[in-house]
Amino acid sequence: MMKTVYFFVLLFLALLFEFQVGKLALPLLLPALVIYYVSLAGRTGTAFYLATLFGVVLDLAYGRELPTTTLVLVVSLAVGRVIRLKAPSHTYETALPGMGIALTALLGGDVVRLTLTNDPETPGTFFWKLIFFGAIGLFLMPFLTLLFDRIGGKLGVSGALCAPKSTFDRLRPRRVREPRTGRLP
Amino acid sequence: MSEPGKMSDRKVFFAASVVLALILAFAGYRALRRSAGLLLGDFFYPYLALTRIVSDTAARQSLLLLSRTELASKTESLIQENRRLKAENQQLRNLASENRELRILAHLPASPQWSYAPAQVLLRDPLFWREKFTVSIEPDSGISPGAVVLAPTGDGGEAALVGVVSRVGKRNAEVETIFSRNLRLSVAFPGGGNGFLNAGERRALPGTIPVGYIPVNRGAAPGDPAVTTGFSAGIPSGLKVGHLTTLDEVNPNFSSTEHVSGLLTPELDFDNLRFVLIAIPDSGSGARP
Repeated sequence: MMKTVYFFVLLFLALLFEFQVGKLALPLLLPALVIYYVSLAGRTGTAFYLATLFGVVLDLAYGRELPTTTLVLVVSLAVGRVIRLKAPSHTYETALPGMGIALTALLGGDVVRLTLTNDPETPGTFFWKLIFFGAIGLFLMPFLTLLFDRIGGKLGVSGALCAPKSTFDRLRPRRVREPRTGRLP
Repeated sequence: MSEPGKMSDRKVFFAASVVLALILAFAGYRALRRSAGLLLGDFFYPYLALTRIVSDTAARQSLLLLSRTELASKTESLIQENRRLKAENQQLRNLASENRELRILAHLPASPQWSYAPAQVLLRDPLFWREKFTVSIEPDSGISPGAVVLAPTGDGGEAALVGVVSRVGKRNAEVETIFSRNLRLSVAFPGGGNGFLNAGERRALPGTIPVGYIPVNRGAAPGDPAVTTGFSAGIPSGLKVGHLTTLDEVNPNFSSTEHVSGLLTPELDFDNLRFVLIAIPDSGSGARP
């Protein structure tokens, strides 16, 4: 129950944050990262449904003709999950998915602008935006994971990072294949 | 121990349920877009207006930090500015009444009258940055969809066209700008030629609006200012829109083309719009809503 409330509060705050940074023409970044965190700390399926719901609410608030954010968020989440399928044991393991999510969200936004609007972006600006926001995603995702895990820990919610397995546990006895012939040398 | 094939079944079920959720979300979105959008706009209004309230309060408080001498000099300059504006207003009123009398004498219909409601930009969509935005309005201000939105230009403060109101909520309204593909508007050039914004004849470059169906022989040239024609319902004529930056070059002696297209640079800086004016037609004045 607490986990559900925690996720909804995080998403609601991300929505409010998006409204404010949207006024500065900054691309959708934090909500995509928060949804990826939800997929790490909770279930991937739940995160996909939440991405759909969040996208619909955001698109409705902006009064868009098509639910473009829904698609961008779902694809971003899928990219993040594909980059790293296993649960992270260290905060830095979320950096690459964070960058992937930021780049996907940016690309998705630009595809929307190119196809649905009369106001495309210059390739030069877009290239620099890719570099800048990719780097932001790279650093922001580990920071967010750490922050949300800390806050969640205080509330008794399990975080995204799982306990690292010791190398000793991973050692397994080597399998020795028996010769198939069955004849003794 | 799970049975073989059970995992793949689960994955297929999950993928199918995500696709189904997306289809349902799309259907619900298309069905509820108008009403839910306005409802959400009003729901988030206190939060969205928060930054405006904070900045207004900060501006007021910073004014109090000025010394008495500075405040007195500012008040004095404002009084002088008001006197100048009052004199200009009186002159315009005289001209308006003269125009009214002349129209009566010439048996012409009365010219449309407008009142203007100021509005502040509340929410901007980062994906459709120049195409639409939400403004805060007073409840029961009489603003209806289709009302024209203006903003003063940097030089001289002459009003230029921003767009039209597309949706109206209780405390907010959505404005579709001249960059929007949905707003197809006729414009006039000084040489007598006309054109249509967003006619779909060519693709826009960043910061420009495509204008099409300009007659070849009507002498529009790059650099020409474009103003509204008054043919579009609810939009007064003579409002500045922008100026032509590029125009197709066609030699009429060697081509059968009747229309050319070009690109228009808007008069206003759409990236830095803060305040706009919404023109409301006065009832019985002849202004078409």
